[in-house]
Amino acid sequence: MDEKDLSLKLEVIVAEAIQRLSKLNNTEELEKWRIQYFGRKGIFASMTSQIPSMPVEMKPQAGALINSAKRKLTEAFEERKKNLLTLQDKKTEFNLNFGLPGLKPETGSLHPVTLVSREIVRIFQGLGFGVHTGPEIETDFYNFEALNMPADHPARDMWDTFYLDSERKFLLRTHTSPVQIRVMEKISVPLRIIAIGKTFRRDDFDASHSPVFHQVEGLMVGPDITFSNLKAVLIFFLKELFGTRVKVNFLPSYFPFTEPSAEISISCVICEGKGCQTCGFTGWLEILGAGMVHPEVFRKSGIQQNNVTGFAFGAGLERIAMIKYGIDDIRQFYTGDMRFLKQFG
Amino acid sequence: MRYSIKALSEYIRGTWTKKDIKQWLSMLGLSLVFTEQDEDVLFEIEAPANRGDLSSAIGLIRALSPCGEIEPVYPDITIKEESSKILPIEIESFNDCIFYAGRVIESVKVTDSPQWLKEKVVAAGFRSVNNVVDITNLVFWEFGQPLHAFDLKCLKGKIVVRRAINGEQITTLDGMKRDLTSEVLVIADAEKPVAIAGIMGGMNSEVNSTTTDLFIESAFFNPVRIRRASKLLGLVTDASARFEKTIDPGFVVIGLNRCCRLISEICGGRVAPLCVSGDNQAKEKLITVRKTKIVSYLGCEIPEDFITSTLKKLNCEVHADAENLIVKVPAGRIDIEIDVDIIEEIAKYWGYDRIPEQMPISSIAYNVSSQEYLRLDALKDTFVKLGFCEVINLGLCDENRKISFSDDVIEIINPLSRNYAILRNSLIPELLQNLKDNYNRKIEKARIFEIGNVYFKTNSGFTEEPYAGAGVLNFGSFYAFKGNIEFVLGKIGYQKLVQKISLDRFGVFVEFLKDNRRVALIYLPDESILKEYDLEQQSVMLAEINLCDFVKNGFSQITYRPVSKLMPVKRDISLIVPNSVCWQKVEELIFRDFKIVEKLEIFDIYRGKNIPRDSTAVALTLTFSNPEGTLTRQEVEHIVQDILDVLKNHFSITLRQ
Ligand SMILES: [Zn+2]
Repeated sequence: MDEKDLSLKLEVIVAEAIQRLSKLNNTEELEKWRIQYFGRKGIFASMTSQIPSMPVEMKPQAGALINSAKRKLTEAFEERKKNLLTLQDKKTEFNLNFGLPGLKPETGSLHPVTLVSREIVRIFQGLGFGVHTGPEIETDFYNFEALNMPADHPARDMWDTFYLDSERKFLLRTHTSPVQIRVMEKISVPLRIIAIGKTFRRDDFDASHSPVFHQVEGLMVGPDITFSNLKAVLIFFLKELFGTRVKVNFLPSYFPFTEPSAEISISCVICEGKGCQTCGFTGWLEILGAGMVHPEVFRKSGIQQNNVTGFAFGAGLERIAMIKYGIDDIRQFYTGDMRFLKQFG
Repeated sequence: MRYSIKALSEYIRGTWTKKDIKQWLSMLGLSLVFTEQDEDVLFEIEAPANRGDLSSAIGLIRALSPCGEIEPVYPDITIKEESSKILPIEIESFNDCIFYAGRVIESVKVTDSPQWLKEKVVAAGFRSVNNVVDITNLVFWEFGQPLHAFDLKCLKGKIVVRRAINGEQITTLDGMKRDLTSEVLVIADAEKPVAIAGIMGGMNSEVNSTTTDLFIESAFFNPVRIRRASKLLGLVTDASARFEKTIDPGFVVIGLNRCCRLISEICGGRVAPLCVSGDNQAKEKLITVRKTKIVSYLGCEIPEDFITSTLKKLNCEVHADAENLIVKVPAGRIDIEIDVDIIEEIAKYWGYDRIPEQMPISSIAYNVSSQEYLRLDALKDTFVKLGFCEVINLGLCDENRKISFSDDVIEIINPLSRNYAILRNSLIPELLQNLKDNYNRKIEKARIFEIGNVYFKTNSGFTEEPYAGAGVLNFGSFYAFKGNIEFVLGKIGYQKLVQKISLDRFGVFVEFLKDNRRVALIYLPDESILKEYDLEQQSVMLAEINLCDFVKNGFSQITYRPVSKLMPVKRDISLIVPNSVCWQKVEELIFRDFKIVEKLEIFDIYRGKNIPRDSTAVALTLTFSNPEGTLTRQEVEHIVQDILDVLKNHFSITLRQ
């Protein structure tokens, strides 16, 4: 090996070392690199150890060449080391403790009744239902009479009513069913709609009653809509809402505005039908009232066609939310308590 | 009505088990509470408003009979007439009282009931009074026919069924003196009312241990008349509840005879002939049901022999031809009036669970949703985006309002209590209450919003309008809150609103006006108001926005403008703005006279040290449009200087040094 060879060889080593240095990601790798080149058994140590066996005239030159290569790499190493700060260095630099929890963001939240409404709207929009509304201040006609409850009908006792005038013509709607009439007056058959809104009943507060609550109403009208259509749509709805594992039970019931009428229960989502506090140890939770639209309701809504039939249903949103989220007291919905509301953010 | 298997077994032919009855009642959807007692099962049935027939042992067994091999058996109703005493009956209006029947029974002995009778009436849910009253209650339980026993010696001359005269009074059996009006139907003798018809007897003709001769009443009153009187008097009894739901005319005389038989058996006495007035023709209904309609209504085929046998067990007569079933329905089933009522009966006894599910296959009509609903719902997201939490309040407020912005408030005429007596005409009071409640729960910071209706009285009646409201408790500066409200206003299509600042005893108001109409306001409650809400020394700000325009017009259109590829030129300046200056006018002027100004953003507002007391320091960033990319530093300096000159001349706004 002559001088030229040595210089070339060192050039290659330096180039390669710098190249590798630039790819190192952390101090551990850096240390490995340093040992490889500068360690006791490193590349430079082994080259230096070969000097004594070189021709005499080469010795001083060789030493100088190796030292210059070492200098180059030491500079590159220091430079790289500066950029590759340790984690400890970073902490000190930013004055941070990376392990501490982050600050809670100040986010907004939707009310559980809104969450449940949106879920219901999503399900029914998927089935081609439109969403409608009606006034909260209603007339006796829409709230009772058009729903097949003429004045003095004993069924009116099913809904304790707030009245706004002494003639008892204006009232706060006791259910969303008046929207059925308003929609049928406005939209031609066939139609399928749901309505969501506030309803009012003259009930005292307790864990399951509130004078103000929300309902969803549904109505599907068309040629030859059947009771088995009602069953299919509502089973689909309840399984979408509470999961496919729930069982759905239909039992006869009474509403003046439907015939036949049904009371629909789901298997208790808490005990899965075994019986618990929530379901009153029956294994079932009443969730919907429904039925085939009474012909008198069609007549009062101005629908004359003979083969037109339909079904309607209604449910309380708070009740659905209580079952879905395990809320045990309906009064919680109206306290405005941030500790309650924030859980639905 | 309360029943037990043991009590009912006397009235049944056929057999049933505990399991049967539970299953049958639940299949028919009769809400019930079961209690097991020894070998017996006790249960209670709350009959629907149109099913008065279920409020009797015979009616209930009749309704259960299609479920199994049972049928009702009437108890003994035969009587021997051994007296000839007659009491004349006059009915003022056959509309109020369709039919009235009665019998005199002479020489009875009124005592405690025998043990078996006591047990029976107590099991049926009544209090044992004496043998006569207990018998009337037992027969009421058996047939659902309300009966009343008068002490004959207290009745002068005759029975008159008439309206009460305004101002007439009667003391009812519960000891209450009641004022009567012409809305109330009474049973009277020649002189005075002796009972409120169908509701409760009078003290003046009460049967007690001194009674020897009885007059037993069994009648069919107009359900509406009884209901109105019961509502008016605030008096609901078992009898009134039954009459309201329309009794079975077929049981008026049967019930009376049964009662008289039991009295002569248990209390002794001689029964007199029947006295009647009015029409007791049971009106059976003939209903035609198309066979194809049953299928097309329920969505499945139900065998015709099942249908016929079920209806027959319900006491209907059925004639079938090729297309129709012609059904004659007994008068007692007032719930069955038209073909779909028959279809319901069929479906119920067939079992709802046996009707298959079938998704509708009708074509999907174009069902447009109400934009009103969707818009109000979507607006909630705008508030949530800003970090507000949604609340829902009742909208029923205390009649003593701590704050009120207008007087057109609607009062509920029958409120639950004074605390919930009026309808809100602003969202603010309830939101303020929410903040107070949270503060009391040691939640010192809160941002809330609500979207809901408020209600106003108008000349022509009542109206409701959708509003959005927001409230913050110790959460950021006034400018931050105002910025949030302005952000929402911008989203819902209110670009440039005139602002009006005012002050009254409730606090400070920033009103946002469109065409001189207030569409929004920010409200900073006065310290005295905060004190009433236990929020003294707290930072509380509220706002509300009328959403009537929004539900009609929707959100502001998104109009996309291409993003400039050139570097924007920006300059920050800090100004001293006298408080009398309306900032809106400042912006208007800058944008009008300096088209090159593209954007003006305030990034800091400061009052206090080193700022004159009647002024505010406003720091802002001006962004200049630079379409050619040639705007020089010098040119910008010139423009800024021009702007400063204009601001100084128009508004006395100076550059903060
Ligand atoms: Zn359960």
